Amino acid sequence: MGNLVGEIWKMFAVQPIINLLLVLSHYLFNNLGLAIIALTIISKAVLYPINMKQLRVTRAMQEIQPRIAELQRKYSRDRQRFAREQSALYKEVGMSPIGCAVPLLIQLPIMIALYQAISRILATFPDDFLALSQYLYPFSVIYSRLPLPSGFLWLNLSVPDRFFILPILTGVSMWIQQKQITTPAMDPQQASQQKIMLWTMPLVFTYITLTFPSGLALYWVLSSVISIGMQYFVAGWGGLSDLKNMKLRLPWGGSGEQKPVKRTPKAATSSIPTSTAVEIVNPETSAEIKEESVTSAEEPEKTGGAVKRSAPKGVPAPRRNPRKYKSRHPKER
Amino acid sequence: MRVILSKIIGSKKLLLVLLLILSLFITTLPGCMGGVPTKGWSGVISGNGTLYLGGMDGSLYAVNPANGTVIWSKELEPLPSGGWFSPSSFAAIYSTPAFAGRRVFAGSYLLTGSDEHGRIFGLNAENGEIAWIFPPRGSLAATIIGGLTAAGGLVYAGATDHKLYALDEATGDKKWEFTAGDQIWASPVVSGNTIYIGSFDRRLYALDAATGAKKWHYETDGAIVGAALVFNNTVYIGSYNRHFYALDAASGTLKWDLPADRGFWAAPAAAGNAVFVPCLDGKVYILDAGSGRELGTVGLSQYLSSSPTALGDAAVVASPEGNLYLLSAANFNIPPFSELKSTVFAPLASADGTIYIHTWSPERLYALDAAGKQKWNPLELQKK
Repeated sequence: MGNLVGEIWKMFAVQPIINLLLVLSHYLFNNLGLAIIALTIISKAVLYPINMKQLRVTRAMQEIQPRIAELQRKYSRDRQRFAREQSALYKEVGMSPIGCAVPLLIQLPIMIALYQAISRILATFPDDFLALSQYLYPFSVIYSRLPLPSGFLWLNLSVPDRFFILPILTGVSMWIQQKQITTPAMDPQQASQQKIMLWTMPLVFTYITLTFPSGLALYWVLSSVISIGMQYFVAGWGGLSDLKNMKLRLPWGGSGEQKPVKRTPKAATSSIPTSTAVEIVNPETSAEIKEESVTSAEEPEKTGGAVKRSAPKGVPAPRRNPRKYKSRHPKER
Repeated sequence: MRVILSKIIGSKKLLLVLLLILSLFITTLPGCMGGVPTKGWSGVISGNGTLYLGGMDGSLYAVNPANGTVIWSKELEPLPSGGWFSPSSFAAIYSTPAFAGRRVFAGSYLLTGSDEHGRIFGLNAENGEIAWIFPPRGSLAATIIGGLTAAGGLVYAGATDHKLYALDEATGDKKWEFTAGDQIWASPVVSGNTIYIGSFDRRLYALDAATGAKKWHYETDGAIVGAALVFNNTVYIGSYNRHFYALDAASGTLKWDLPADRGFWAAPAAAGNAVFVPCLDGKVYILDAGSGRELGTVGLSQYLSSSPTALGDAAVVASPEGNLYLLSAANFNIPPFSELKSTVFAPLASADGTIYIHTWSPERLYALDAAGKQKWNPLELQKK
């Protein structure tokens, strides 16, 4: 059974990508580096609809975080009730947490197949070149090109970057990507988790790229850069806008005070209309959370002097809690 | 489940541990993808009543052919400690050793971090003491993958730095070197005063064995990985471009060629008046040595990468799965005469009617007669 799955995976996932990469290299001056770049762009283009959907769903999920935080606070002693209310909220706004995971689950096998294909083609060891032979389609253009020269710019793509440039770029691009999707945390625990994720994943991948063939690092860096661009078009610079106000701290650097963070106009004009902007005064205590009711970049509609909540489709405005929130017009900030 | 997840996410330490495990998993992913912890495919050479082969642990072994016991072993390259940033570093022997006089010669493969190193060794055949090392100081910025050949007082070795080295058998002094256009993985073949060597630069070169001067070259449309075969004034060579060529040994002019579905990796073998050509399409092409006429074709596996060995009028061919076939021009549609259930990549060898097979996984040395009977229990070589 395992063998069968392996064969199917090889036949329908890894093998086509390997051969595509080889054909690309044939038309790109027999240059494996250019072929990896082209393949990364193609894969991002193919996955574009799924990526965008995932980004939008993730963004929308972030928008209702204040309401979830509110529920969490309200039912902190009754987890079952919290779960029920949370489900009801998801139902109410027409979203499912699984909706976030599905696009990711679709992408994951493709990403793994890309990774495996590039690893196979790089053929670090003589055995790898022999193993690669089993993945080739019987096309003359493929057989006459192998083995591909592994030089590209300053790199030997089949070994780690000896100048550490790509590992650093991998870490930096992953940090930027992670920071971009980070939204202000609702409570100290969430802020702590975000800090850990923000730093740990880039560090882990930096370490990995120090030991992996640089061809893979090239793929990761380019992939991150494209993702950053896509995220920008969906949600603006996101958490990166906070950089100028934020004192950078390592996740293990203690409970340093985080300066207030504000949404940028770009973030507010994202393709997902924003009904709620949140200003965290002190995330460590989560005591003072201010809510700002806006409708994207538009003026709030007023009805009889009161701010009318203009919730986007599928993302209702959070309920008010006069003890915790106070409304402010964005221009009053 | 949700509670467990929230606990995991809520705990810094636990999250860090999980991320560490994830990073280790990703770091070792190539191994999960079908890679193996050990490498190498050295064949066996028989000399002066002793078998010699390179182990995947980077040691050269001398084995008693009578009972399969190790006479001596010599670690050619100390295994690197594999620093923090170089976990993939390892030493191995891919090249089949050569034997001449009282010396055995071997080439090494060492990867330290991202740097490739290789050296050529001349050892005392009786006790494994190193007589000389080339280069005398340091190492080549290249590895030795193809087999070594000893003839006429010289030992020849191709390297991944595109060079073919000719060294003095006694001292290891370099007599000459020839630079090809790309890496050399093939074993050199000496016939008369000519040496034939293929390269990834798609060319088969014929060089003067004494001086290294080029006599001729023949250009194929693909990399040449395997060794050539010289038989009846004809040079036979397979290319990765899916063609097998027969060339005039003196002039290099094409006599005939055979197209196949996939590339050629292993060296062919000649037995009787036939040439046995294993191919990466999993078939063995049995060809008339003179005309190239196809006498028979038999599919044995998904691919074939181990070079066959001649045994009388037949040739012994191994599939990667460890099945051994005794094929002749007259009789080739036959079942395997032995099933080793061990992966075979290394070239086969035969001496005194015994077939020697160095298997890859698990790493063992087998000695069989033509009936498939094992002469002694397989020798387990993987000691580290």
